Amino acid sequence: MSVNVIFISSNDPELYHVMVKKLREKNIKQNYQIRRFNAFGLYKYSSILHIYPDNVKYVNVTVDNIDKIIENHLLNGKIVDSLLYKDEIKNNVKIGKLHIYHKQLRLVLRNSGIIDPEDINSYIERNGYRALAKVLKSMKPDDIIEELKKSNLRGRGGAGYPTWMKWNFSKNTENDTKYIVCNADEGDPGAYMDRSVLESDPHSIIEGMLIGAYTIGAKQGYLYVRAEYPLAIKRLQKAIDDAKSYGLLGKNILGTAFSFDLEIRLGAGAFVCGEETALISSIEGKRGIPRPRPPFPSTNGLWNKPTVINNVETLANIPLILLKGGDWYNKIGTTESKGTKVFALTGKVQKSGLVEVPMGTTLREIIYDVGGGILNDKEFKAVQTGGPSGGVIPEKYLDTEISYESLSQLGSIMGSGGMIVMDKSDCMVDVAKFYLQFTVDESCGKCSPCRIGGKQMLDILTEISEGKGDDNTINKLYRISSAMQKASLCGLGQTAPNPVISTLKYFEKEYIDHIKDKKCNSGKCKSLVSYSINKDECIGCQLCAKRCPVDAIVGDKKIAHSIIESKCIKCGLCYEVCKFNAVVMA
Amino acid sequence: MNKFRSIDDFESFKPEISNNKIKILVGMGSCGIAAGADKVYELFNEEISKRGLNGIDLKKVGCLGLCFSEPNVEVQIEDLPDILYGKVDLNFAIRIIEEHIVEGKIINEHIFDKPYIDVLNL
Repeated sequence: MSVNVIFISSNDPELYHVMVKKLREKNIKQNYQIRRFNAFGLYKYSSILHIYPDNVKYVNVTVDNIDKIIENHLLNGKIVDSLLYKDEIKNNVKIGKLHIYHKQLRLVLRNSGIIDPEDINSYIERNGYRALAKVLKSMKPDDIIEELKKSNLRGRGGAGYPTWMKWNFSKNTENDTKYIVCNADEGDPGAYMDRSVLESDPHSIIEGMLIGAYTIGAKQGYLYVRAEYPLAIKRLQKAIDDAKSYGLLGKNILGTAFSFDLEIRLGAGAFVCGEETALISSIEGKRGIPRPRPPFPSTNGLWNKPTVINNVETLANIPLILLKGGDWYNKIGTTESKGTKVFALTGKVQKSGLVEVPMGTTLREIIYDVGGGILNDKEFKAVQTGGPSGGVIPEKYLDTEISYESLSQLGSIMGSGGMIVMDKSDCMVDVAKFYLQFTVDESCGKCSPCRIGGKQMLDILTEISEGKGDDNTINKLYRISSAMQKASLCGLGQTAPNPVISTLKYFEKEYIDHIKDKKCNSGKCKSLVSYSINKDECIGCQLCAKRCPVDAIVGDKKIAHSIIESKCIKCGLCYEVCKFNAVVMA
Repeated sequence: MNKFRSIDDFESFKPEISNNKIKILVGMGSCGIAAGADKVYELFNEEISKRGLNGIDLKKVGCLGLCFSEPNVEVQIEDLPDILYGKVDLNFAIRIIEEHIVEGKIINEHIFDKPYIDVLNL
């Protein structure tokens, strides 16, 4: 016998109490456990009510219409149609019973949080290694390429190159020795999609690599993981060992002629090693610096042999595509971009987390429906996608459907999946400076456009943040950007100006405020800000004085305070904590 | 466990499935552990044996995706809805054992909606 449970999530705290009271009046309270829960998607509905075990969901329930549910549903078993939650099913993702729930569809993260990542049986139980068995039993390499072609899976590392083409190039290149490499050198600030998959479902990556190796004819593979991911490395190694002991890795896999071995290689923390030619150098034991392409790794890769390099998320998709079929996968997403994308949703958002949505979901849906909106109900300013190679997207484009194409049209990129939400207290000059500082630190120094250009741009941005620019400053930024984009050797330098160009594109006025008016309205650029206390408003509550980390605020209780400018470090804490708007930012 | 000698050998393999009707899943990615999930897991482990509770699977799982509410613990009991508790500290973990596991009463706090459906069940 199932227990009856009513879950209530509402903006109105009274709703819960009214429900309890009314059920008590009807003398049926004892039949139910009534529980409060934190629902997703509340921003759209004032309340969500979920009745178990009937599995019926109502929305917009209020103290006024709650009787309808009690009378009809609870007492008479009749569903109240007018309040029923109807899952919004987009045409492009409705496939049989497969539908998205609260905007999310978990393909890559299908096992995350469900299986024990250190138990191979836990993976096998959930159709793990079934795709490998299917492939070995009944598919030729060309069949697999065909299936991937149908699925239209594109690389999830950021560039979006069709996976089937990459595999096909390596497959068609004659050579006794070929390699497959998993690029798990995830380094974008704020991005942790790959780490999560490696830690939560390591076998799915191994299975993806096995299928790739079988397709192109590789006998050896490498997992290039950054050393900063110790838990991912530990779980991957355990997964490799377990797969070997089961005969799913190693010589004559599952008794067939196919043999494949896998080793982990650790990256030592250089961001540029995520670039595939630098990654190859690093695995070869050399300094991790890029080389010009072509030739591409698919024909001339590791030790000059044909090498397929795929991102973690790409590989995690492979087993599912081969199990369910390329046509199945192809139905999910937009015309050009298929499947789902995992995002690490962070920044000024209420429910930060790892989110997987079908391509074609809008930025607004991700930030507001899944993410629950902006932290502390502040005003949205921009969302940054694609990390140091990406850009910011302002409010007017929030309804853009996500795809490789749409994001690059907006001057950002899909990238690997970092998504950082910013509110009005973020300064766009400061944001551009942050990302540029990152790429300058991480530039390998081999080519001068990146090495020198990045540094020049950073110097200019620093000047702007100090209010030192002139009429020509913005032009200079554009000119150096253009040179870096055209002449840098690898993606790191070519895309490094993106955060600057996109903030200039959408928030040029903010740059001009800094340069001409010497003002930073968000208060982030310390040299342009000063704080003072309005004596008429200050009641001398001493809150700011207590919170000031450098004791720069003086004043006795109940007497207006003042700030000692020479001591002030402009952290803005007093401004934030003052309840009387007595602290003034100028 | 022996090696699978053939594809058929593998395909006919059925991992042993536990008959336990109570499952406690602790989200233990790096983020969960950083928020204290490992201590919560240890506490469950100790309490289960200390109280002599039977028929419980205590499982370490990966990331549930809800970073804002780490550490996350999911409790699955037959005849009760699956419940995802967020922000589970050691005190709350004891309450999960005493109220939810032992008495079958879902705790009226810290419940978070799981924002997705298991794609394999569809």
